[in-house]
Amino acid sequence: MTGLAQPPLLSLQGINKSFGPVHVLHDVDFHVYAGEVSALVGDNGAGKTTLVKCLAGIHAIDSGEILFEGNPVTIHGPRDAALLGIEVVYQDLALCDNLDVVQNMFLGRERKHSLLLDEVTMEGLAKSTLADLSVRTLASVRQLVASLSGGQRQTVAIAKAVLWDSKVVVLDEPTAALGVAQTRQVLDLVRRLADQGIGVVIISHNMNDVMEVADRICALYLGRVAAEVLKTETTHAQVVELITAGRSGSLGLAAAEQVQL
Amino acid sequence: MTDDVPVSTGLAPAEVPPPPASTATLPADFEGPIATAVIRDYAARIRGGDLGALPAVLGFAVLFALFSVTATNFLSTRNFANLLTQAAPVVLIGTGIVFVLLLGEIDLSAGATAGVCAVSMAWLLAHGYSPWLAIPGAVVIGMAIGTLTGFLVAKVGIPSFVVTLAFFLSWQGVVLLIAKEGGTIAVSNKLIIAIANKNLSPTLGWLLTLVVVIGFATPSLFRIAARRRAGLPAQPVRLVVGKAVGLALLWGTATYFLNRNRALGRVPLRGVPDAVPLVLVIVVVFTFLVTRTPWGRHIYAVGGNAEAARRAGINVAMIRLSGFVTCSSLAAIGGMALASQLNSVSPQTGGNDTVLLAVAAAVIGGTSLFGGRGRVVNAVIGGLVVALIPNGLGLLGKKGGIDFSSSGPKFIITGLVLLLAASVDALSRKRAQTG
Repeated sequence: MTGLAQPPLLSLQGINKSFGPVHVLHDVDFHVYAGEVSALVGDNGAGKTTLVKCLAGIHAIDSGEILFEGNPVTIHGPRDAALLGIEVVYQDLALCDNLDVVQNMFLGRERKHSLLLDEVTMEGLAKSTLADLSVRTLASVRQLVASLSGGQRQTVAIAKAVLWDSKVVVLDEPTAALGVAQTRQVLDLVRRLADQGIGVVIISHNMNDVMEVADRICALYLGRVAAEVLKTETTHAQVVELITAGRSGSLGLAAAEQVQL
Repeated sequence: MTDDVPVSTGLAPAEVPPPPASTATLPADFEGPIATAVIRDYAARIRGGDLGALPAVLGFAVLFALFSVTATNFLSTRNFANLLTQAAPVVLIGTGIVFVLLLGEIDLSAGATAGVCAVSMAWLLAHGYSPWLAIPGAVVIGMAIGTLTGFLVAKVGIPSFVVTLAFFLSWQGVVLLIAKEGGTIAVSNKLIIAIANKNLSPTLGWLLTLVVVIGFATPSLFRIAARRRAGLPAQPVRLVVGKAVGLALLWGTATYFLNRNRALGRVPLRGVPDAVPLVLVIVVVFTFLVTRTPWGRHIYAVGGNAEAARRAGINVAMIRLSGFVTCSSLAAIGGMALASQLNSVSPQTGGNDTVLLAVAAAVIGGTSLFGGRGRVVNAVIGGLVVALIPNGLGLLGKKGGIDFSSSGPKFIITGLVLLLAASVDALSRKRAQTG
């Protein structure tokens, strides 16, 4: 899990994004390493979601560079992101309640035998993906999603993202609506994703979750990166200061920069 | 969101929760009588909030028992054959309605579409065009109407309720223009007439029984074999055999009675009505399409969560459009069955209560009005219930000063039954949301 020596799997450099007169992202640098969990933290309006949407191809960036496995890439739409192996699990999960787990995991990308659905292959792949993630909380992959608990749904949504040999999985507030036991379950799953060599990005408001699961933490403050630090080199209190004030001791934005804002 | 499944931290195998009863498939190693297996399978699905066709089957049984006691001649082979023929147009149009309901939409113009297609076909036939042009032509007109409706709903974004309500009136106007006010166009084409007036020979009837039972059991058995080969849990073979035996008994009994002479006069009348194989083919084809193709899967997905479908890369607008095309095409075939019943097409064909009965057939059969839940076969069971009401009431005649064979009681009772079915749908959905 050290990864310090290795080059980043995905790196965003000097990203700028404006919506009309509102300059949302200022020269943002953000790095994702294979096998590590990078947490993206920041107060409401700090630009977390905008950054993720740029990554997912929903927003086009105004300037800056995206490097994937060291090569510059352009992401013009969700399809480009998916082709690179970047999957985003949004907060609302986007699952169909009336379909079962397998049907949801393969939705829009069904395996076919000529023109017909190949249920046997899909069910087998769904099972092995869930087994690789050590998910044991689902009784049957043929259960309707409507009958699943919040944590189980999150698990299905994450497994769906992993199914496509994804290299980067972005999780938007995965534990926001969950209870204690289910949060535990999902955090374990996030850790296992990283252990499989996937670069995981987790957006969270919950400092306990972040401090527990993340390897490195990127704090955004009013559209700028306040600091990108290793978890082992920082404390809970420092991260909170970075989020709320943009600086903490030697870390963070210089005072002059803040005045500029 | 409540948790009825114990949550494990996902590490120790000892914490694996027991499988909940809500899984709809039985384990392969299930032991015990087959009847128990079938009942357990069904009970599990009902507990999962999917009532399916159960209320319709119960409703059919209740109405059947009621009319058997009160109406003379109700329990006769002749009337049973009549019932099947009368149900055919409602079932055919209702099958189309199932598709728009699955999408969470509605098509109030399906009856009028059936009328337009039927009258166009009748006009073409009456003007000497080949039936090989007139019959496919009617289906093409249905597809065109569905494309127009689908475009206005899916692309322009007008609620389907409004679009199809408008077309309900407009298409009836078209029928009036073609048939001329008060006029009817006679239909004498043998193929069309056969739908409601001809029967299979007794031998063909038995052959059909054989095809139905084998056609039901074979794909299920192949599926079980394929799943076992892949090491996936499969239904027990005995469950499929049990269901096939049940189907054979039911279909065989019906065929046996239909093959007996039911003529009032001297010319013998026997056999399974031609409407049965027609409906069977349509139901099998569309069940196959909706359960085995990505298109069918996407219909369910769009009806269940359109936003999720969109993000999964599904072309939501095209799926919606295709649903309306399917509905209108089936309405065209339903229109032919309507023409067959009267041997003619009039301005009333497909008007009045036709669309209401078709929607009722789909909903009574267990298709949800909220989208995403339902099966094609629902339209058949619901259609039989809907057809049973006028059939039984017609035979009831005058009782206690009320003429039950008139339209009044028929409309009131059918309306109430639809309302009842919609309540069951709404309540089971509510339960699934809070449960």
